[in-house]
Amino acid sequence: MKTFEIIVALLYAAIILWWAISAKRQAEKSGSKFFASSKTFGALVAGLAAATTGMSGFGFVGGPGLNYKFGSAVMYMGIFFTVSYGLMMWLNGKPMRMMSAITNIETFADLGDVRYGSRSLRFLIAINLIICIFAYLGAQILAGGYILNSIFGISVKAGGIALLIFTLIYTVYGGMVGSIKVDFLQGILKLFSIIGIIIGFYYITGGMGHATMTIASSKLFGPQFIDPIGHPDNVMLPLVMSWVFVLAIGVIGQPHVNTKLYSLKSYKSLKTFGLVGGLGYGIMSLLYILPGTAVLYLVASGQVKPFKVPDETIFHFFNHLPPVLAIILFAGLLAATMSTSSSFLVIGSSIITRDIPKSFNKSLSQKKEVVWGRWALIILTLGAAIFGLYGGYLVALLGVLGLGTFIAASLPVIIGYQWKKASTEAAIISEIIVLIMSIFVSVIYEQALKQKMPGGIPGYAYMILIVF
Amino acid sequence: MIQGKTKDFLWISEGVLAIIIAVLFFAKLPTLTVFFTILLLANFMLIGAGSRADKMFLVYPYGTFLIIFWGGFLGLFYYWKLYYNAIPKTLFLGMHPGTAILWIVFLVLGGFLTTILSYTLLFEKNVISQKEWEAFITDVEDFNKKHEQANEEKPEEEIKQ
Repeated sequence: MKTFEIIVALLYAAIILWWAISAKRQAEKSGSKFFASSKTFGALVAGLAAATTGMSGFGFVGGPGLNYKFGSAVMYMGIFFTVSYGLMMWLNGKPMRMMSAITNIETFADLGDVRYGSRSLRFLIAINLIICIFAYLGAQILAGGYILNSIFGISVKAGGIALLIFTLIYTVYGGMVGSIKVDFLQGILKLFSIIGIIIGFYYITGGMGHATMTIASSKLFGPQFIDPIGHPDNVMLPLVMSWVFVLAIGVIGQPHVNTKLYSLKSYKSLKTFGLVGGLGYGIMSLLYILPGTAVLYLVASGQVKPFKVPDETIFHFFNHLPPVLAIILFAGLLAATMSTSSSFLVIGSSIITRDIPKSFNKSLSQKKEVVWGRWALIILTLGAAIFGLYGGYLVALLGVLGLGTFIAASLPVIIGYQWKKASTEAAIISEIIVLIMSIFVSVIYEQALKQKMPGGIPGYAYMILIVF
Repeated sequence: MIQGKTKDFLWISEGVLAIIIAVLFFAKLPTLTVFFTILLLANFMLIGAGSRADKMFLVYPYGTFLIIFWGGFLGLFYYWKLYYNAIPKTLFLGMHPGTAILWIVFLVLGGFLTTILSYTLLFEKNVISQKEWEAFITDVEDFNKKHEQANEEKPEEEIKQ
């Protein structure tokens, strides 16, 4: 089993490298190709890449983990995030594709600058996004490390860095063009792995009804683990109600998903881009129900001892599957971690190479952007690796930044191109609020001091509401 | 249909809805927030369709979205309270009826068949038609040509001076 896993992992790595390197010539044409793969792909490739990027390593590892910890209430995450693909198309689809036809748009900060004509705003958007990207990459080192640790038996830190460096290599070659091509390939793999998860779920539990009744009758878990909210007096009620709000806005403000809109070759691809992305993500969202429920069933029926680290849930699921199914799922898990990291690396490098210099009135030629973009990728990866390795407590503190901050930082831009009366001053104030609330509320007040916001909802939900 | 003052009204009402949601969370009334949240989200579709939103758009996807999600949450809260801290007498698709609503009503009916599919089905009518896109591209090309000409003329003028 172990040798077979290693062979499959190496073969998978070789295919990805070959696939990404084949995009090198296309990516080197210009900065807009390297950073945004402007007008390059059809709806199927870009749409599936958007779905794959949305379902990160967090979805694969964290989703089943939260399901084990909180029960069915966690299913809101996958479901309302899927709804957000449709809302993203209605709100962002046409204006973002039109903007990329008018001028050379590669990033959210570009959009902000074009709409509001403010370099200060460009700088603030860039800063808000780069903090999140850095925090995210630091957290990914640990997620990737868990996966390689379970396949190769190497340490979690070494595994995480190895996976990040591998992602860097194929991203340096292919930029966003390579990233989307690999995401498409990985999307197909993830969809296959969902079929494996469905088969595995029935193989372990004997059916949803059987699993539900076993969990509900268990003294360890009980009925609140199968109902859609849980106890009214526990933390889940306000939390899931805030998820409806935050997650249905979800991808509308996610730069790594929205940038795929620039990559559409024809405006007609908009028509089916959201359909492919939404359907793809919706199918992948079964991850929020099946592996976690299967492991809850295993623990409830006494086949697995209760465990304290929820992120181990997916690995308990794998351990009870036939080897061939487990291999497909491991590959899917690797794909999930790499696809989102690669998109974030490209977006991070475009912020360093393009957004921050442009904030100070300095810009590079399209060819130079590619050269410096590659160096920025390397620096970003090195920085994230050092942060992930030696950041310790700070990695966990900053790990909380992500979805909510991305949405709040992107909203002023989205409102701006949908509403002429949105003012530059309001957009700048919003970005300052996002910066202050991310650091002082999400990181210091909630994460470091372990305090809760009034109403029991996360600080980032208030942050988004205030930006509105 | 949605332009000018109507658009201003919609965006201002989005801000008001956000305030109401925040106040309700603050007042520890989380189940009420979701009904305002659904309205705020549905308005995104109306804003996105903008001037191309017609009366039929108010029926599908806008009205359908509101009915599905408002109705779905009423059903979800009903089953949640009905089987609160008890094993449900009937399961739907092997799940607690409230949890099944999440998957069938919210994901399939509200997500796939309303929010996502409506964009594909109504693309030509409510998003952009080929004629409009071509006119837009012509405008962009004309603008770029004029801009290039202006740039080319500038040095000559400077030489003359």
